[in-house]
Amino acid sequence: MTDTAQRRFLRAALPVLALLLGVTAITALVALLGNDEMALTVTEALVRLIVVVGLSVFIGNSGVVSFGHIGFMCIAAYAAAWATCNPMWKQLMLTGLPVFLQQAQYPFWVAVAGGAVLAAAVALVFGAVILRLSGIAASIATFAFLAIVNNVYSNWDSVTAGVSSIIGIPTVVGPWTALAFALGAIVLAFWFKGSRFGLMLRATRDDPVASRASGVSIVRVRLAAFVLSAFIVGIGGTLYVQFLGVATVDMFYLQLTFITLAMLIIGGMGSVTGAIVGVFAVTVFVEFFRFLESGVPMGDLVLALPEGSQEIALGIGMALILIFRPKGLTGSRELKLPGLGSSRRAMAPALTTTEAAARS
Amino acid sequence: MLEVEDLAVSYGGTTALAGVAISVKEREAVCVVGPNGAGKSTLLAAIAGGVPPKRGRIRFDGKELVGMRAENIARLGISLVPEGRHVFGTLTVEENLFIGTYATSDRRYAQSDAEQLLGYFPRLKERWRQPAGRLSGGEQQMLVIARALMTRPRLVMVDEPSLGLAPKIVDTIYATLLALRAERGLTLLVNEQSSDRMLKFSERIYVLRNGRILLHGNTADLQDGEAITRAYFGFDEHHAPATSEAAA
Repeated sequence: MTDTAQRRFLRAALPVLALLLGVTAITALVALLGNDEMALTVTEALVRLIVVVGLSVFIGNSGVVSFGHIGFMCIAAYAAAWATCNPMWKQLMLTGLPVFLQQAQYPFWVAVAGGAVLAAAVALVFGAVILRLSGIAASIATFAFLAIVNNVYSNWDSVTAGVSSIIGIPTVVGPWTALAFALGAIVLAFWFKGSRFGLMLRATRDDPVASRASGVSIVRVRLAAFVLSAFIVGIGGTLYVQFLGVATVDMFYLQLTFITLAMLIIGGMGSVTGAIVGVFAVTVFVEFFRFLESGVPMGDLVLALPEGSQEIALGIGMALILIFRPKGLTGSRELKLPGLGSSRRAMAPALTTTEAAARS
Repeated sequence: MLEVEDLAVSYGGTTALAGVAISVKEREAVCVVGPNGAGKSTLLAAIAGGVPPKRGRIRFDGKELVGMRAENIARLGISLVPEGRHVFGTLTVEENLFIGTYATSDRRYAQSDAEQLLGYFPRLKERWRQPAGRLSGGEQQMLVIARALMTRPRLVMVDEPSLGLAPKIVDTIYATLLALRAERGLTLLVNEQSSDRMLKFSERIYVLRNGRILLHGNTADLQDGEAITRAYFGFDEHHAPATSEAAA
């Protein structure tokens, strides 16, 4: 009996563990063997991994595309910037900040938690309003949200320093910190996907009519995912500014929205594995084209692609994926380990378990 | 148990139901037959809260359903099996089955209910961990019926269960519905296009055509099928709706 429970758990947990190990191995390989620049690249990739995994919690399970999540990243990132940046600078430049933020400098953990909770709280209010809309209308509303956040943060000079940067944020995030949070985000995403709410949400994605007939409240399950995904994306935002040391509004706008969505689509929207694969695939792809842009010596002459080629190539790559593999590189399936198989007869022991329980 | 009065529904300018009245008593098997486009699906969808009525009343145990959300109506104990085998394609058979119990958060009986239903639909047990999207049409129909029953409804409404299925599978499905009714004391409201099978399956029949009830009566009184055929094909259209006295 416990054997069944154990096997069930293993079947669910082992692929997740394999993915965690994979991400850890890639990080370790690059961080230990690569140069400083490669360590920065892998750190940024891991921060993006957190963001894309966060996106997939909502988009992957609900089937509703959100263009607004980078807005949550922005909100959390600025909260972290307010908390950690040098108080002298804050008093000089951010005169509109409340005293508790302006006068003090908070540690890393407080910044991460505060930023993520703020993003989740905004998602709760905003989501409650827009998630009643049907899929495509909700998507457009999330895009409007991104524009609103961008405008507010660009123009609220006394709090955000407008379009100029907030500087002097301690750069405490390296590859290992980013890795730890990325692993946490992956675990959280898998947990949600398999949870009661995750299942109900995926049911609404597959068939809204039948899910309501089964008693599922679409708004409620969507909202739960929206808040959790904003929370995870928010963590990504707080790490990002503590990785770069600066915060600028335009870091969190269309370009990042495009690249994170491209990662999700290329990897496969419907699975956490897809989000992870997408981040690494796109990062390698972009780095390769960046390398070509910087020029390759060929005998006497240096061949270089014109600047901007990487964005164009990424756009073409995404279009090709959508045409030939619409469910992404992973086919939107989760990693499956050979040997554990999805045995068809697994029901038999499950039934004997409950029968035994009923008899006792 | 269920009382529908003067129910009217329209989509844009098109009238789907123009003042329909039906009633279903506890433990009855009632059937609505009618040709394509008669409004049968709309009737069930309106009861389940899927489409808002233009006017009329729908009462379940005396409680007004008009204006309630679909998911709350489902929680009152009304389960709709929509037309066209709406499985959750990417979820496994197991997950499909348990969705309803997650939503109502009444999971005390979930395991024993599942076992009981799998006794009726052994094919589902063989496909327990497969995505529902990969099942055959008949298996999907069995799955949606089993899923609807997992929430322990008192009234089960099934919209054209025979659509696109082999007659043998349809027989199995109807036999199972009747067996489940006997075992659980269910009340059944079923839509079909063909009336032959319904004469065996149900106690009462309503014939719906162009959004109106043209005939209704006890199955026992309609066995020759003549009256149904006339109503079904609209021979009586210019007269007042015919009603069998026995049903009143």
